[in-house]
Amino acid sequence: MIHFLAITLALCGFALLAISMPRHQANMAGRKLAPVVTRRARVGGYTLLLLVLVLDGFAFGAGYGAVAWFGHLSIGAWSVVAWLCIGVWRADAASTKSES
Amino acid sequence: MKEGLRQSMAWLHTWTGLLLGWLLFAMFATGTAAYFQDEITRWMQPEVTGRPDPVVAAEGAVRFLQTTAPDAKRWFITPPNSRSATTQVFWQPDGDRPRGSRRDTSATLDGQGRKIEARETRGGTFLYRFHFDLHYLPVIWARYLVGIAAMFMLVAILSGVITHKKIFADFFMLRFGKGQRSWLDAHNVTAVLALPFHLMITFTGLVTLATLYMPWGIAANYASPDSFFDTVFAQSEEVERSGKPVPLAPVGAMMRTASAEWHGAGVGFLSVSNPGDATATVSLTRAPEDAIGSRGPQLTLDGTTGRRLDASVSKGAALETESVMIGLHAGRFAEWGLRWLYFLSGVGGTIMVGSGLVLWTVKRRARLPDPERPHFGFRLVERLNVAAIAGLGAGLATYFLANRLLPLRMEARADWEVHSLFIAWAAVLIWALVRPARRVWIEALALAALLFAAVPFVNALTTPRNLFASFAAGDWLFAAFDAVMLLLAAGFGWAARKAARPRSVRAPRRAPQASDTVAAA
Repeated sequence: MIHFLAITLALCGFALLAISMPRHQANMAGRKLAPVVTRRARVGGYTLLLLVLVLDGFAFGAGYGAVAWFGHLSIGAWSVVAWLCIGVWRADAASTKSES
Repeated sequence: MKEGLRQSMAWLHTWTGLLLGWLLFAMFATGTAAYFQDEITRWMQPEVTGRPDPVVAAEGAVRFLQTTAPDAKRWFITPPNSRSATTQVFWQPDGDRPRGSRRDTSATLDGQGRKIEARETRGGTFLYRFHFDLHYLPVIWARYLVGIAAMFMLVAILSGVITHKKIFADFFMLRFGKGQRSWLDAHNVTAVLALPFHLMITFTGLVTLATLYMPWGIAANYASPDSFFDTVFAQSEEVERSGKPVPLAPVGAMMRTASAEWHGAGVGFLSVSNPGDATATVSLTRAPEDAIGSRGPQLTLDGTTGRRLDASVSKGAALETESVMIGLHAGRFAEWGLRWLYFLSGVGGTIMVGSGLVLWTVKRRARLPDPERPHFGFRLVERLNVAAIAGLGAGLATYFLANRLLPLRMEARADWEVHSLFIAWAAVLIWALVRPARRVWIEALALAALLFAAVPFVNALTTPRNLFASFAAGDWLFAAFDAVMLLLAAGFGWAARKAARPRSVRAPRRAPQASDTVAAA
């Protein structure tokens, strides 16, 4: 359960980091975001990733928690990549439909 | 310097990655599988069930050894851990006896100390050993080769971070259907998003065999490598048998003594010197699953009274670091959640190496003077890529299939399981060399997919432990194994379908969908 929670938090953290990157804003938010929103997303993203470290530390102890943290970060980040891919597929499928 | 840092790093990355990339792919793939080596062994011995208690199992192993090898110089007992079901015993016969093969001095026992009546297999242990000892090759050569490959990997990782300058800008980028761009994305995403794991696993992998690769420290300070290992790993000194028979005290009580000393951690290994003699001693080592450090503390007890004789001195900082690094690499301490994270990171590393190998050809194909007639080097790399990636997949699936299909009482059965892996692998290599390049990826990937898909079905036909029965019985190990086989089949099948799409040298403006291609076909 802790793993599930940690991965979900890491996913949210990386999603915020992705949305703070201009090249993903069109896909994720549908428009370019204001600089202040972008900055908040970035700070929020990093904060969440740190929060996962704290959570892992409390749940598993320092050493084990640190190892688990890296695992949670990787799976969380890959999940964001998968999510973005699905988003692009959907957008493509929708535009193909509207064209034909 | 004429060329910039990035160009020279790109060159380094390309060629260190390619030269031993095929070996690295095999090391990553089998090493990743080895995170589940105990589970794979259990799947490959479906006759063995239950969750034996380590203390009861160790006492049973002592009963077995007392009848089988009462006058041995030493007994070595590895009781089951929380994931395995069997006890491994090995004994060192008395000095006067001629040394037989390892088969005559070792046995696999069940939780009561009876010899296991199950199919002969090397199980997951083979994949673990192959990961650094390879096969059909003297172990020492294999380990040097593997060490060089790991060193190249380290160079490739570091130069890769410099070469692929856009990895951080493209952090979450994975675009399909864009030829070279897609391969680069896949390479980056699998590499960067698990970069700490890749660095850790490569560096600590080198540390596991550091004394082999860099023997000079030991050579300068010890009379021989053996005296170094005796000092560091506290091998108790050999004592002559007194000839006065005294029965061994119960090892169960000794294991409880040791556990109490280690704050409840279990015993992972016992070695009994001069069993049945007045001079008997028992050394117990902490189970590797109970802490990150792989070299746990030892406790030596008097074999006849169970009285405490000696405890291993605490290690210095260097040895403690080594112990933790090897522990991090092998992940024996990881409970199932973290074990899956290790496994998935390993899968990411395998895809990273595989996509890097493919990228070498994809990048060069566009620049070939005549793409229909590529030069020899290009053809070689292309075909070796097929053999390394799809061939190993087909080989692993064949290894599992052979476990279910070879006759149960066959002579040298375990060896033939291993041979079948390499026969399948070699068959794909030969296939890759003779078939037209366009077809060979599709065919080899489809073959691997079919073989993986066949594993759960053959398992259902040859054992009562099929996927549905496993689900119904809550046997998650068997269910998960079958599920992973199906996922691998789906992965290879998807790759085969992708490879079957017409190849475009120039990326189209917008990615055509996989469904579009099917509709158009």
